[in-house]
Amino acid sequence: MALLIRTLLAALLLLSAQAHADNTLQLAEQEIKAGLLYNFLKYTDWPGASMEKSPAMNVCILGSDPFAGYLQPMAGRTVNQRGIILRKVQNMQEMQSCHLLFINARAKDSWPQLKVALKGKAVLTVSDFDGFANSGGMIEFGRKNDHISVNLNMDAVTSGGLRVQDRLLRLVTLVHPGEP
Amino acid sequence: MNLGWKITEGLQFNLVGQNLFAGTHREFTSPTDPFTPATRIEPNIYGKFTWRF
Repeated sequence: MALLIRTLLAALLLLSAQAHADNTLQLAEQEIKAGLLYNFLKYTDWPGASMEKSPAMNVCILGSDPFAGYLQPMAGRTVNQRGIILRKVQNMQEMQSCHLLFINARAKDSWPQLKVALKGKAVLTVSDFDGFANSGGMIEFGRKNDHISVNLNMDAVTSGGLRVQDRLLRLVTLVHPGEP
Repeated sequence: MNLGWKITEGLQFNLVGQNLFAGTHREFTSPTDPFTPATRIEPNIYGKFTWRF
Protein backbone atom coordinates (compact mmCIF):
# COMPACT_ATOMS: atom_id res chain seq x y z
CA MET A 1 0.00 0.00 0.00
CA ALA A 2 2.78 2.43 1.00
CA LEU A 3 4.58 1.65 -2.20
CA LEU A 4 1.42 2.33 -4.18
CA ILE A 5 0.89 5.67 -2.44
CA ARG A 6 4.51 6.58 -2.96
CA THR A 7 4.31 5.71 -6.63
CA LEU A 8 1.12 7.72 -7.04
CA LEU A 9 2.67 10.73 -5.30
CA ALA A 10 5.77 10.50 -7.43
CA ALA A 11 3.59 10.36 -10.54
CA LEU A 12 1.64 13.42 -9.38
CA LEU A 13 4.86 15.32 -8.77
CA LEU A 14 6.11 14.40 -12.21
CA LEU A 15 2.83 15.55 -13.71
CA SER A 16 3.00 18.92 -11.96
CA ALA A 17 6.61 19.36 -13.07
CA GLN A 18 5.45 18.59 -16.59
CA ALA A 19 2.67 21.17 -16.39
CA HIS A 20 5.13 23.80 -15.28
CA ALA A 21 7.51 22.96 -18.09
CA ASP A 22 4.61 23.27 -20.54
CA ASN A 23 3.73 26.69 -19.19
CA THR A 24 7.26 27.86 -19.80
CA LEU A 25 7.73 26.21 -23.14
CA GLN A 26 4.43 26.66 -24.86
CA LEU A 27 3.44 30.19 -23.98
CA ALA A 28 5.15 33.10 -25.69
CA GLU A 29 5.86 36.30 -23.75
CA GLN A 30 2.97 38.20 -25.37
CA GLU A 31 0.67 35.24 -24.77
CA ILE A 32 1.50 35.26 -21.05
CA LYS A 33 0.89 39.01 -20.89
CA ALA A 34 -2.47 38.55 -22.64
CA GLY A 35 -3.37 35.87 -20.08
CA LEU A 36 -2.37 38.20 -17.27
CA LEU A 37 -4.64 40.92 -18.67
CA TYR A 38 -7.47 38.39 -18.44
CA ASN A 39 -6.56 37.79 -14.81
CA PHE A 40 -6.52 41.54 -14.12
CA LEU A 41 -10.09 41.71 -15.45
CA LYS A 42 -11.12 38.70 -13.42
CA TYR A 43 -9.73 39.87 -10.10
CA THR A 44 -10.48 43.59 -10.15
CA ASP A 45 -13.72 45.12 -8.88
CA TRP A 46 -15.01 48.16 -10.74
CA PRO A 47 -17.43 50.57 -9.07
CA GLY A 48 -21.10 49.93 -9.87
CA ALA A 49 -21.52 52.96 -12.14
CA SER A 50 -18.67 51.79 -14.30
CA MET A 51 -20.23 48.35 -14.64
CA GLU A 52 -23.65 49.73 -15.51
CA LYS A 53 -22.51 51.78 -18.47
CA SER A 54 -21.69 48.68 -20.49
CA PRO A 55 -22.91 45.08 -20.33
CA ALA A 56 -19.47 43.91 -21.51
CA MET A 57 -15.93 44.43 -20.28
CA ASN A 58 -14.15 46.80 -22.64
CA VAL A 59 -10.45 46.14 -23.06
CA CYS A 60 -8.85 49.01 -24.94
CA ILE A 61 -5.47 49.42 -26.55
CA LEU A 62 -3.91 52.81 -27.11
CA GLY A 63 -1.50 52.71 -30.03
CA SER A 64 -0.84 49.61 -32.09
CA ASP A 65 -1.56 46.14 -30.66
CA PRO A 66 1.74 44.74 -29.34
CA PHE A 67 0.32 41.32 -28.45
CA ALA A 68 1.22 39.70 -31.76
CA GLY A 69 -2.29 38.29 -32.20
CA TYR A 70 -2.34 36.61 -28.77
CA LEU A 71 -4.93 39.01 -27.36
CA GLN A 72 -7.50 38.40 -30.10
CA PRO A 73 -8.76 35.05 -28.71
CA MET A 74 -9.87 36.91 -25.56
CA ALA A 75 -12.54 38.80 -27.55
CA GLY A 76 -15.84 36.96 -27.27
CA ARG A 77 -14.80 35.07 -24.16
CA THR A 78 -16.36 35.88 -20.83
CA VAL A 79 -15.00 37.02 -17.51
CA ASN A 80 -17.21 37.05 -14.41
CA GLN A 81 -20.25 36.39 -16.67
CA ARG A 82 -19.51 39.36 -18.93
CA GLY A 83 -18.38 39.27 -22.52
CA ILE A 84 -15.02 40.79 -23.39
CA ILE A 85 -14.76 43.37 -26.16
CA LEU A 86 -11.40 44.47 -27.57
CA ARG A 87 -11.18 48.03 -28.84
CA LYS A 88 -8.49 50.24 -30.28
CA VAL A 89 -8.75 53.77 -28.98
CA GLN A 90 -7.19 57.03 -30.11
CA ASN A 91 -8.58 59.78 -27.89
CA MET A 92 -10.03 60.52 -24.49
CA GLN A 93 -13.59 60.43 -25.81
CA GLU A 94 -13.15 56.80 -26.86
CA MET A 95 -11.47 55.88 -23.58
CA GLN A 96 -14.50 56.81 -21.46
CA SER A 97 -16.01 53.36 -21.84
CA CYS A 98 -12.79 51.39 -21.22
CA HIS A 99 -12.56 49.19 -18.14
CA LEU A 100 -8.95 48.29 -18.88
CA LEU A 101 -6.63 50.45 -20.96
CA PHE A 102 -3.38 49.01 -22.25
CA ILE A 103 -0.96 51.70 -23.33
CA ASN A 104 1.51 50.56 -25.97
CA ALA A 105 5.04 51.43 -24.84
CA ARG A 106 5.41 53.41 -28.06
CA ALA A 107 2.64 55.73 -26.88
CA LYS A 108 4.66 56.42 -23.72
CA ASP A 109 5.04 60.12 -24.54
CA SER A 110 1.31 60.65 -24.27
CA TRP A 111 1.18 59.20 -20.73
CA PRO A 112 1.71 62.42 -18.70
CA GLN A 113 -1.21 64.07 -20.49
CA LEU A 114 -3.31 60.91 -20.40
CA LYS A 115 -2.72 60.50 -16.68
CA VAL A 116 -4.25 63.90 -15.98
CA ALA A 117 -7.28 63.13 -18.18
CA LEU A 118 -7.82 59.73 -16.52
CA LYS A 119 -7.42 60.97 -12.96
CA GLY A 120 -10.15 59.59 -10.71
CA LYS A 121 -11.62 57.49 -13.55
CA ALA A 122 -12.33 53.80 -13.02
CA VAL A 123 -10.01 52.70 -15.82
CA LEU A 124 -7.40 50.08 -14.98
CA THR A 125 -4.26 51.32 -16.73
CA VAL A 126 -1.64 48.80 -17.84
CA SER A 127 1.58 49.27 -19.78
CA ASP A 128 4.99 47.75 -20.24
CA PHE A 129 7.23 50.76 -20.41
CA ASP A 130 9.82 51.11 -17.69
CA GLY A 131 8.67 53.38 -14.86
CA PHE A 132 4.94 53.27 -15.70
CA ALA A 133 3.78 52.20 -12.23
CA ASN A 134 6.16 54.66 -10.63
CA SER A 135 4.70 57.52 -12.63
CA GLY A 136 1.07 57.04 -11.67
CA GLY A 137 0.22 54.03 -13.85
CA MET A 138 -1.64 51.17 -12.16
CA ILE A 139 -0.04 47.96 -13.50
CA GLU A 140 3.33 47.60 -15.23
CA PHE A 141 4.75 44.55 -16.95
CA GLY A 142 8.50 44.24 -16.58
CA ARG A 143 11.19 41.59 -16.87
CA LYS A 144 13.03 40.03 -13.97
CA ASN A 145 15.44 37.10 -14.42
CA ASP A 146 13.83 35.96 -17.65
CA HIS A 147 10.35 36.12 -16.12
CA ILE A 148 7.56 38.57 -16.66
CA SER A 149 7.15 40.64 -13.54
CA VAL A 150 4.04 42.62 -12.64
CA ASN A 151 4.30 45.82 -10.60
CA LEU A 152 1.18 47.33 -9.11
CA ASN A 153 0.74 50.86 -7.79
CA MET A 154 -1.99 50.54 -5.15
CA ASP A 155 -2.43 54.30 -4.69
CA ALA A 156 -3.20 54.70 -8.39
CA VAL A 157 -5.64 51.76 -8.32
CA THR A 158 -7.46 53.10 -5.27
CA SER A 159 -7.68 56.66 -6.59
CA GLY A 160 -9.56 55.28 -9.60
CA GLY A 161 -12.15 53.73 -7.29
CA LEU A 162 -10.98 50.23 -8.21
CA ARG A 163 -10.32 47.35 -5.87
CA VAL A 164 -7.96 44.47 -6.60
CA GLN A 165 -8.70 41.12 -5.00
CA ASP A 166 -6.18 39.09 -2.99
CA ARG A 167 -5.92 36.57 -5.82
CA LEU A 168 -4.41 39.31 -7.96
CA LEU A 169 -2.25 40.75 -5.20
CA ARG A 170 -0.52 37.38 -4.89
CA LEU A 171 0.64 37.69 -8.51
CA VAL A 172 2.16 41.15 -8.28
CA THR A 173 4.88 43.20 -6.62
CA LEU A 174 3.63 46.40 -5.00
CA VAL A 175 5.43 49.62 -5.79
CA HIS A 176 5.09 52.74 -3.69
CA PRO A 177 6.17 55.78 -5.64
CA GLY A 178 6.54 59.00 -3.68
CA GLU A 179 4.30 61.90 -4.58
CA PRO A 180 5.57 63.58 -7.75
CA MET B 1 9.62 14.33 -3.91
CA ASN B 2 8.55 11.87 -1.24
CA LEU B 3 10.81 10.11 1.25
CA GLY B 4 9.37 7.45 3.54
CA TRP B 5 10.73 5.80 6.71
CA LYS B 6 9.18 2.77 8.29
CA ILE B 7 9.70 3.50 12.01
CA THR B 8 8.04 0.39 13.40
CA GLU B 9 5.63 -2.16 11.97
CA GLY B 10 2.50 -0.08 11.36
CA LEU B 11 4.06 3.37 11.84
CA GLN B 12 5.53 5.27 8.92
CA PHE B 13 6.86 8.78 8.46
CA ASN B 14 6.91 10.50 5.08
CA LEU B 15 8.64 13.75 4.15
CA VAL B 16 7.10 15.31 1.06
CA GLY B 17 8.54 18.25 -0.86
CA GLN B 18 6.67 19.94 -3.70
CA ASN B 19 7.92 22.45 -6.24
CA LEU B 20 11.37 22.49 -4.64
CA PHE B 21 13.38 23.50 -7.69
CA ALA B 22 11.29 25.94 -9.70
CA GLY B 23 11.07 28.56 -6.93
CA THR B 24 8.06 30.83 -6.54
CA HIS B 25 6.39 31.31 -9.89
CA ARG B 26 3.10 31.84 -11.65
CA GLU B 27 1.06 29.20 -13.39
CA PHE B 28 -2.09 29.43 -15.44
CA THR B 29 -4.72 26.86 -14.47
CA SER B 30 -4.48 25.42 -17.96
CA PRO B 31 -0.91 25.08 -19.26
CA THR B 32 -2.05 25.69 -22.83
CA ASP B 33 -4.74 28.35 -22.31
CA PRO B 34 -3.54 31.65 -20.83
CA PHE B 35 -7.12 32.92 -20.39
CA THR B 36 -7.49 30.91 -17.21
CA PRO B 37 -6.92 31.90 -13.57
CA ALA B 38 -3.26 32.34 -12.70
CA THR B 39 -1.97 31.26 -9.32
CA ARG B 40 1.20 31.71 -7.37
CA ILE B 41 3.07 28.46 -6.79
CA GLU B 42 5.51 28.23 -3.90
CA PRO B 43 7.89 25.55 -2.62
CA ASN B 44 6.11 23.41 -0.08
CA ILE B 45 7.44 20.84 2.41
CA TYR B 46 5.41 18.74 4.81
CA GLY B 47 5.78 15.64 6.97
CA LYS B 48 3.21 12.92 7.46
CA PHE B 49 2.89 10.11 10.02
CA THR B 50 0.84 7.09 9.00
CA TRP B 51 -0.26 4.69 11.72
CA ARG B 52 -1.85 1.48 10.62
CA PHE B 53 -3.70 -0.70 13.12
